Amino acid sequence: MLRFDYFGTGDSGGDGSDASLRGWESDIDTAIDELKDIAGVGRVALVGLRLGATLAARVAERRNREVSALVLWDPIVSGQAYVEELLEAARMREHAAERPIQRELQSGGGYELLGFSLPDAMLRELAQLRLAPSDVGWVCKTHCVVSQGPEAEAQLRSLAEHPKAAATFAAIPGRPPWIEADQIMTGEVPVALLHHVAKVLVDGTHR
Amino acid sequence: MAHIAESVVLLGPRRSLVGIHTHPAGDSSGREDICVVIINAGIIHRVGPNRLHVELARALSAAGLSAVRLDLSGIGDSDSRADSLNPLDGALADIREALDTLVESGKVKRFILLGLCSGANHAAIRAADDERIIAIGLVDPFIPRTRRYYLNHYFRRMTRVGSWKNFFRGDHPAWQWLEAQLLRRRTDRTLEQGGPDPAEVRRYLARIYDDVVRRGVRIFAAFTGDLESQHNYREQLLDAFPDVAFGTLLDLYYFGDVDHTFSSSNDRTALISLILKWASKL
Repeated sequence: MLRFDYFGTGDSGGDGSDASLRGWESDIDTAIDELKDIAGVGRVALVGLRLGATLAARVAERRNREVSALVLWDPIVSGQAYVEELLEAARMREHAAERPIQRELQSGGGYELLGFSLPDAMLRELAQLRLAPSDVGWVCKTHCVVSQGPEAEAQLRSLAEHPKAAATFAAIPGRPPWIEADQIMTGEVPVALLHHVAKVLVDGTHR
Repeated sequence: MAHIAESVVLLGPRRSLVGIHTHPAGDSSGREDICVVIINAGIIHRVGPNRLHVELARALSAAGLSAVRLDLSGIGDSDSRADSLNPLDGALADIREALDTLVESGKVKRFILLGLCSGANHAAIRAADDERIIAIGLVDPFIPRTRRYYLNHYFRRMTRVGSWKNFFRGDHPAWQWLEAQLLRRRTDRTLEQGGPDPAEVRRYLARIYDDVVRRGVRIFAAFTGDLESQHNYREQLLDAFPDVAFGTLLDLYYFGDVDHTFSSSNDRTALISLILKWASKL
């Protein structure tokens, strides 16, 4: 098992304002190579959450011979809708400092959103991002799990059950862990969903 | 910026506490035995809110200081404690044990603890009785409300149109307070209030800060306007503990327009710059 942070996020090097989706996909490539090397295996399973799931799906399509299984947890289906969702969430913040801030053009433009940089280059990449069975063509064992409301559930279910995707699907409703609870700096761990993902990977029961 | 080297460290007697050690990249002469330990803010793992701790550790490194971003037990990659200590005692034990391991490693003898919110509280309490801690940087630590706090609070409310609208609609907290006063006649006061006795908390913290300054520990304290429910002016720390002789040991700052987690990169840069300036004088 290997968990990693993309360039410019978490413990990894770099600054988020220099990051790009293309670069993050390349980070997934590096992680696959590293894990194959460390564990001495020929194939790996990819598990991604939200944007990570969408990027993992793109990499899995490219490297399908090396990806044994793919778990997409609440993947982003439309990058454009995701940006709008982020902007709306930032606009709703109580404190002015947390609302969207326009970044200067000479620094790459775009926004500071919810504490992170979203430069113009990444906004353009996100606008092009779309998760669809026709252009993703999931070829490995793929499992979609959704925790959000009925709208997201219906969208993901139809995507997963599309003949070209032929993925399995599960809905485990709960409060999204990436959304802060009512009290600042608190959150909920989606225990049932995590157990489900672990079971899918360990037992291979999704097929 | 200088090349920053980082490594994973496993601390504590069970090596169950995970930290990221950022090695000094700048000139560290005279400060080789000092390590800055950055403690979790609430349940946010070692990268800190909006990656504040990462930016801070790397800036300290460039300035020649060694820094460890620590995950307390049960947070981030650290395992839960094996004993049954309550959360506060567990966090304080974690910090002591992490410092023990760093000292055992040979090079480090003195520490600067930095923390935001609960991390600030843990840093202050730990510093009261650990001789190895020479300085603490506190961002939004808990401090009791004062008379001036309430004057500020109610003056601001009175000058806000929304407060008067709520008052006439019956939604104002004053009505809720009145209702609570009436109900209190019929309910058990202890059960109704819950939580620790505020006077006891004030005495406890006064003793902590008194011990900290008696040991000559340098204090950087910064407060944000976002936590108006706790503090709303720069000198509240001094007024809350009038018997503590902070004197020149204390560097005090107030960020009126800044949110509690420093969401804006400009605000993070401003905070880090002040901490670097303070640390350079130690």
